[in-house]
Amino acid sequence: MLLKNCLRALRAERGWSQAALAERLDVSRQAINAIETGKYDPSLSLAFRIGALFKRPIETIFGAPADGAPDVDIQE
Amino acid sequence: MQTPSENSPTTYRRKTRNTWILIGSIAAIGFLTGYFGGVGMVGGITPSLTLGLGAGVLLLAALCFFAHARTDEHEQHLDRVAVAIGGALVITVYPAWLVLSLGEWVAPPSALGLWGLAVMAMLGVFAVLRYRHMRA
Repeated sequence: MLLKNCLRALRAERGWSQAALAERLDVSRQAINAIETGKYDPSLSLAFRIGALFKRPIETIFGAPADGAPDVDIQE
Repeated sequence: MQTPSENSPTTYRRKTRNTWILIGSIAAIGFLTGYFGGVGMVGGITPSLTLGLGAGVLLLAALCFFAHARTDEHEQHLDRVAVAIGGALVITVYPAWLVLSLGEWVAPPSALGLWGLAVMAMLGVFAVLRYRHMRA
């Protein structure tokens, strides 16, 4: 079961390209693309790195498909 | 204090240990394949060519594992998919090959043949997955 996520929205909010985010997370751009399109679930380690980078708990970024993708509060 | 994206000494040690475990596993499998598959890597008369081929295969496998350890986690996931498909192909092809050989349509299954099949399947799937990965 692949998770839903709001990584694309968070990235867009900061105006980062996939390559820029990939560089910050020390992964390939294709890995970011695969996560954003829901083809690949990141490891727990990478999920925590993503959470730390966006200063959010990981459960606000990733969620079960039944719950839908977590909402991003732009004002935050 | 280290940021989460940095490789800590513990992470590095764990990666190195895992790499050597994988290399050891492939060496053991290669050794046993040679022994039980009648390739002649051990015991009796050991042709130097066979030994050289065996050593070459093991060296290539070691290089593959080092390369694998240095890719990111998504690419490692794709590598595992390729290996799993190669393994699944061997499991499905072996009984069919055995049945066909009992009917004397083909030569009996050989360890070397199965290895070749697995390697070709893995390389094929690996190439397709990496091509799609690069175009994503």
